[in-house]
Amino acid sequence: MTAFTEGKLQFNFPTALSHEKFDDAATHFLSHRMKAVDFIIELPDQIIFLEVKDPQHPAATPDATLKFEGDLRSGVLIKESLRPKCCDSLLYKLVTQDIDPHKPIYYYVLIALDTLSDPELVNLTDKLKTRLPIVEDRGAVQAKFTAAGKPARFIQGCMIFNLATWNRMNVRFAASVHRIP
Amino acid sequence: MIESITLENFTAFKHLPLQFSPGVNLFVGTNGTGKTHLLKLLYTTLNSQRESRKKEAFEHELIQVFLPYKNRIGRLAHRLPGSVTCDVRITRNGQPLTFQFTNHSVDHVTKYQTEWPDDVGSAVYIPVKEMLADAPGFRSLYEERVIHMEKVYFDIVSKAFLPILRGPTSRDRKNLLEMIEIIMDGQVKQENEHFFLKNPSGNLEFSLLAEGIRKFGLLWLLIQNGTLLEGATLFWDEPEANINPSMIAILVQVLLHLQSQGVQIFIATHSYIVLKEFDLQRTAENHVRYFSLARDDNADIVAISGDTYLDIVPNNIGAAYTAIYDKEVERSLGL
Repeated sequence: MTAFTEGKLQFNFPTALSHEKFDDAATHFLSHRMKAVDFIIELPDQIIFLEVKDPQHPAATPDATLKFEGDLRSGVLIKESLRPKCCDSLLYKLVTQDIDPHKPIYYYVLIALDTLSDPELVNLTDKLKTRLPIVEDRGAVQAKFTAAGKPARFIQGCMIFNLATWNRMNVRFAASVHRIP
Repeated sequence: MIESITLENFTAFKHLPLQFSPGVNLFVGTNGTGKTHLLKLLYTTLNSQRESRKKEAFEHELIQVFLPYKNRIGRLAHRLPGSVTCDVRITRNGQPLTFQFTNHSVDHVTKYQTEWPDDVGSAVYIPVKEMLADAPGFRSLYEERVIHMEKVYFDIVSKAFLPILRGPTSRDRKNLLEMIEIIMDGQVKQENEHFFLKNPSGNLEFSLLAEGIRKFGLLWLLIQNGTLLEGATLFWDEPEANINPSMIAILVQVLLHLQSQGVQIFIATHSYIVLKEFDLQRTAENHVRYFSLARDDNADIVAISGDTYLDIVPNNIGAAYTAIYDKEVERSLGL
């Protein structure tokens, strides 16, 4: 069981082998140059890059929440935050060779915003995908690298969740999140 | 304003009471839950009030709008074994309109009573299929020949041909017309029963125009000729049909403006974007109510209503997107 908190959100990954608080200047030696996802979690069969956004944090001002929603819907959040965090984290981990070379890497983004509906989450996920070095599960691109003898490490898949969809899918990837008082 | 309806054994409905909003009423539900029937029934009751012989006018409307087999009104009764009596009560401005018929009725209703005034404002029904491109000669064809076509198509074409109302055009109406002109990139002109979109490039006949733009053209005509004014009632079946989702926001903006100007609106829709745009664009001055029609455990149609998008329960449109989301998770994360 791996459990950790980010602000007022508590995560539980029962099957995780380890987790690392990655967006941390004390351990990320290039945090002044590169962006970083909040956590990197290792499961038996995959690596998860986890980015957490909590615009409904109890301390968030209404103006800040409103600005966040604006940035989210305009694409600014994806362009200036979600994309570079994933790409820089991937680069950092590959350059430092500090990641299991055999496990696929997935990018999970949790946006704790109740008003985000399922159609909006699908649309935002599609937008994020177009900005990531991603190899979807159909594997045609991955197969080319494998055939060329150059096994590649791209992002295998990504998904944006809110609290409700994360916990709805919880039965499938055995990880829950809830808000703590 | 139409305030309420109670349906007993009318078409798909066994027993259904509804309280309407004076503003926008949005109906959702899977196919076959009676949304269009509801809109058509309300339309026929309003549209027959101008006639002096209201009962006969209503019977004619009912038959010509619903087109039951062999013009038998009794076929509009809820299908149950044995004798079935259909009983309908509609309240408008506190005044009732009631009628009955049975599954054995031929071309008459019974106990027709109305306290409604002759002038109930104009009633407009916009059907799913756009008709302006087919307008040339259509009115003559419909009036002179027996063709099996719902009267709503004749009515909407006739209303599109109405000349401009006397008197000055208000600032509000001008603003609405300008909003639609930006979307259409022009104004609508009529010549020899043909409709054209007129802009600096010339006149483009409606048959060459995208169907979605033609729908905006129809709305423009109805506002311009004063059909959609304060006191009017608009029924629109699937306004999203043929309109690109990117233009739905403007459409909803126009409809909310019409509602603010005193037009009561009834919409049947399958579109998440229509529902959500109403939810996002509505202000404290707008009245919007959602109705979710669904079948209960006995297969009878029931309705749950509420004033926000989240009150739509069950929400089969949202559920379809949830299913897509879950499939996306499955594909993206290999779960």
